[in-house]
Amino acid sequence: MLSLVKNWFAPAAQSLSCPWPAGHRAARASLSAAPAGESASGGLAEVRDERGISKPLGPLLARGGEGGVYRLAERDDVLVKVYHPEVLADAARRRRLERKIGEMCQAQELRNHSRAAWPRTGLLSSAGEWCGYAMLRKHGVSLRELCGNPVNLARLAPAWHRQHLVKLCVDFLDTIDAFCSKRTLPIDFNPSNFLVNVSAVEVNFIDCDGFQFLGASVMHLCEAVLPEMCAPEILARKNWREVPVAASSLRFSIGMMLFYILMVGNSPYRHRNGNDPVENLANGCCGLGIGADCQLPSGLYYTIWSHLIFDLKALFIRCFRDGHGKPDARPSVAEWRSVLVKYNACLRAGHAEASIIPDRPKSAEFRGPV
Amino acid sequence: MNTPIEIEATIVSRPIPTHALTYADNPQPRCPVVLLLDCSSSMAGPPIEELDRGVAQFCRELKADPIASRSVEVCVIPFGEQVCVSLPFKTVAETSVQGRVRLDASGRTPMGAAVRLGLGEIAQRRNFYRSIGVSAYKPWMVLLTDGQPNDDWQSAAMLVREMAIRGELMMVGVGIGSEVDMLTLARFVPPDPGPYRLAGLQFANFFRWLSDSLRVVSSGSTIVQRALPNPIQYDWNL
Repeated sequence: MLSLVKNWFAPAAQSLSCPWPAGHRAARASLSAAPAGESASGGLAEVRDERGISKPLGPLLARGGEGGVYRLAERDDVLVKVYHPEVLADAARRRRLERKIGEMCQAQELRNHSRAAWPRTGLLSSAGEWCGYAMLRKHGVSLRELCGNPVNLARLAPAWHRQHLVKLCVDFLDTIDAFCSKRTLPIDFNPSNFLVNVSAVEVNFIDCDGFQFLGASVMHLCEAVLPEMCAPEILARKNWREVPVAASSLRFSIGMMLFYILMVGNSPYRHRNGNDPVENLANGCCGLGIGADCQLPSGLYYTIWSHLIFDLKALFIRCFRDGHGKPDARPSVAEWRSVLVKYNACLRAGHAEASIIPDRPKSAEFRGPV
Repeated sequence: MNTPIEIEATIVSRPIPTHALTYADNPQPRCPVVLLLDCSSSMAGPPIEELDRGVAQFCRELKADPIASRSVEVCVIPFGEQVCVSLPFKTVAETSVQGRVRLDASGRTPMGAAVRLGLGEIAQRRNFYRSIGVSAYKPWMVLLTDGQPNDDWQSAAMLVREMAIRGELMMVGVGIGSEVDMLTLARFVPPDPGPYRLAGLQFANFFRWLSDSLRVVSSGSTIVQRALPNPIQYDWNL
């Protein structure tokens, strides 16, 4: 472990250099951007590595519910996350975090994953107490900023069409699949936890300390989720932090995220008769449907939906209508992938509308191949 | 081996028609914010000018944030000679506030009427969000005053305070200057954290804290509120 720490902070080696061009927009958006009024380090000037050597901190880049993220003064490609004092003051929680991060740092296959800001080494406060961890900086624009609404997407990725969205979804699925194969589940599907490299159409996962992770001896659970992206059984469970999340619940959140990307920030629980989508999710009130069965709001939402291929619509309906109360009905990663590949083939052949926002809904008389 | 997805270079697609998008086409959850601004005659001179500049700065700062600008909706209600909505709810991206919002100081301090009008505006707006099927964050009400109310304010204060205690509303009360009645202001806000007192005329720092707080809110969940920036670090609170 000591050797990892030593290598990790060495500024010259740069063996873990950023794969994207210098100057590419960097964001750290799992946490909101640091408030302008906050002092450079929010009162925190340094941390210590596990040997006790001082590491001066650069500016606070972002802050979230659990902690703040700083740049390391001596290495631009390294970020550190320092948990908030109130989080660390909870002794049991601090022990859990310290143990989880410690085991994550030793997971060799995952710590070198090119798409994850995986914890690399634990950190100590100036008082010598465990306070957080260091990770490699990932670059990109947050999925929330990119796909949260059409105006931002038009501004940030003006050249994109539907194939880019499909590629992004497939890349997302493949990355999830790679984690799952190592019994590691990303649980917190906050769009701010994903950074998109717009030119490469690739997604990076940040805030990895929230993953459900099987360590050497114990399953480390996720302690924070975005309720808007959660399976209803998790929302309904008061003790969700104490129970491992099932793969079927993860499949629901995967569906939510694919919908978010392909439908440009929308929720499948927006409904023609209104009401809050989060309430609708909890109540199973989903407007997705085909033909007369469709209860989606008119306008842009319906226009985009109408142009998705039939198989993709069917999968979304299965995930959010049938799968709302029946977790086993939710599509697997392989099913999603297969249908997305088919959608891509239709786009390539000109059998499906390539524009991210078509100018009108698909005609009811359409009798094409999909 | 998974099939890779190749992007077709020759594919023809229309650019996103941003000019044609309607309000409901923006799926981002909305955060309604009502600013209740004391514009009584005692605010004349530098206080009203600084307040005016502070509100405009607040709008500009939020406008620069690509997420918050399409999520936070601001409604401005000055109270003094009259109580009215001078800026109806709009996303910050849609507001055209530039240098000033043109506040004038005159009249008395009808704080109760302002709070009732603000609550009515929030209720209407939340119904509107539900009707078009977009989510909403907890609404914010920000009350800035340099005096004490002189209308029928008690019931409005109790109502808004209880809503804040129940977690239905984020209520921020800020006293300005040495003449403000902080005990009365305390009856409009929940005991924790209670009312704030502005240091001098530090409206700029206060509104920076407010815009930063709303950036935090608009980047998170509508259900679980995250920790907000600490006002102490912004140097506006005595």
